[in-house]
Amino acid sequence: MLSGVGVSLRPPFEAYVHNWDQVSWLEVLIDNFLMRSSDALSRLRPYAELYPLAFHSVSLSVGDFLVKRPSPFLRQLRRAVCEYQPTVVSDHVCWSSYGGCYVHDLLPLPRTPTELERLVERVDYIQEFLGVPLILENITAYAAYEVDCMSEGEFFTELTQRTGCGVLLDLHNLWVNARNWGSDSMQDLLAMPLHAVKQVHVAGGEMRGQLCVDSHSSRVSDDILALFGELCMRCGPTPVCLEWDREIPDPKILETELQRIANVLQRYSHGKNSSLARTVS
Amino acid sequence: MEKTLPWQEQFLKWMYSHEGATAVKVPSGQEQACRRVYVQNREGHFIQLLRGCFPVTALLLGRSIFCDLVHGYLQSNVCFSWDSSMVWQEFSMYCKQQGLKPLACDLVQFEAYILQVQHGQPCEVCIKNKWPRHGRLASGVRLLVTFYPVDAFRQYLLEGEDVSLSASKRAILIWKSQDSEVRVLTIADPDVIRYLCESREVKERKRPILPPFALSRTHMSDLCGIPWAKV
Repeated sequence: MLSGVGVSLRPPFEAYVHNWDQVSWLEVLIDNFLMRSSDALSRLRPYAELYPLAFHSVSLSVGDFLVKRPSPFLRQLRRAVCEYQPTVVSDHVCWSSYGGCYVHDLLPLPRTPTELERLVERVDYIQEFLGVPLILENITAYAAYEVDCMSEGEFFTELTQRTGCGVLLDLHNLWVNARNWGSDSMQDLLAMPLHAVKQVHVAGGEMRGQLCVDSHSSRVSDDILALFGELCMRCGPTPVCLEWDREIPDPKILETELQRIANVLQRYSHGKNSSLARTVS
Repeated sequence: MEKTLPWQEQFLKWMYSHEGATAVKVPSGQEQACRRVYVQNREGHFIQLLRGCFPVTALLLGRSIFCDLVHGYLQSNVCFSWDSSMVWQEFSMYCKQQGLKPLACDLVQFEAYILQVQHGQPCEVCIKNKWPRHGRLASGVRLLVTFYPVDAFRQYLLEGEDVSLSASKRAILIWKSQDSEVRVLTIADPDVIRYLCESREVKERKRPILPPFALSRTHMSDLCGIPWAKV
């Protein structure tokens, strides 16, 4: 089981993973270890010996056309899962390939009963093939579909109930969407199937004009930590992972960020104080 | 080709043009900004990937195999979480599998140079006698690998009437015929492409932009119906 604070492993972090006291587990972008090179997967071994691993992927494209045959990527992923027995295997509720080609982005799905039906079938198929449950992440959506007729909370609730998959709740994505689309992030949080949340992502973003962008390039805001506090208060301690991909700061700043997250986890895990949560707009 | 879903096509068309806008909605007043986030995320990523493949890109410039090979490869084989150094390793292997071993072997020597290219910082390399003798690039040619934002590109074009250009959907080669300097721009920036398509300054140039390289139907730009594919 994952617990405590984890970090999404990026090449600049590799230098200090050996002495990272504040980190309890690592999330690895498993796609980066599934390459032609025969030794690619073995590069995970040193990390697996130090930390529990969570496998995170961007390539399953769970919202794509349902093809009931395993793609080469899915076969590779199963091999990696068998070899390393990760605590978690996750991807996103999105589509990231089109006609068999990678689109190199995580793009939103229409939230309709028809698409939900197709998604359920595909998630079922992938889970069965991998032999492990998936946990699926909410993405940042800068665009949506006119045909959408379900909220993200309704969509995830149905999805988790029908497939047994878990939720990787990205609080920054949720907050960015609320900010851009003009909804209340706390209400959006409470609409998600919180009982199914197995892991949390936190990150910092940036503003581009009036648009809030999930860039993983800055410190985690107090609003995000407040949402995390609320989640922990309601559901107990939830493993949380810091994502920082660009403009990676000095290790001391990273340590400070990890400590801020750990403090919230500790404070709200005991359900003693929800004052911070109440400050979320 | 695998099957696709109608809304996928609508979304991609919305990203790259105004077609499909009736199927897609965005936060109020943010249409251009939202489209730009998607396009820039994706194109910026491609720039990174192309840098990873740049030794081969440069080597094959002027030959349609460049586009076919690189773009076909990126779309079909590269997970978008990979960084450019990973792409390079994989691409080298891919080239060998495609029977391009001699080229790939030469190119290994350029890896160190190319990886020095940081965003917005040109990297100049002098091609030595390992460079293939075919095509426009001969031994001793200086290659400047860089990324030009549209303003810098415009400036360069306005000031450099003596330069020649050849444009494809994704790459623009600028060279001066009388000297040994070759400038290569990895253009995946829609602003630049739009400038090339629409600007009167460009249309009135004495020296026109040369026809595009031969391009493969498998390009992502074809798939997405990108309007600037008309370059």
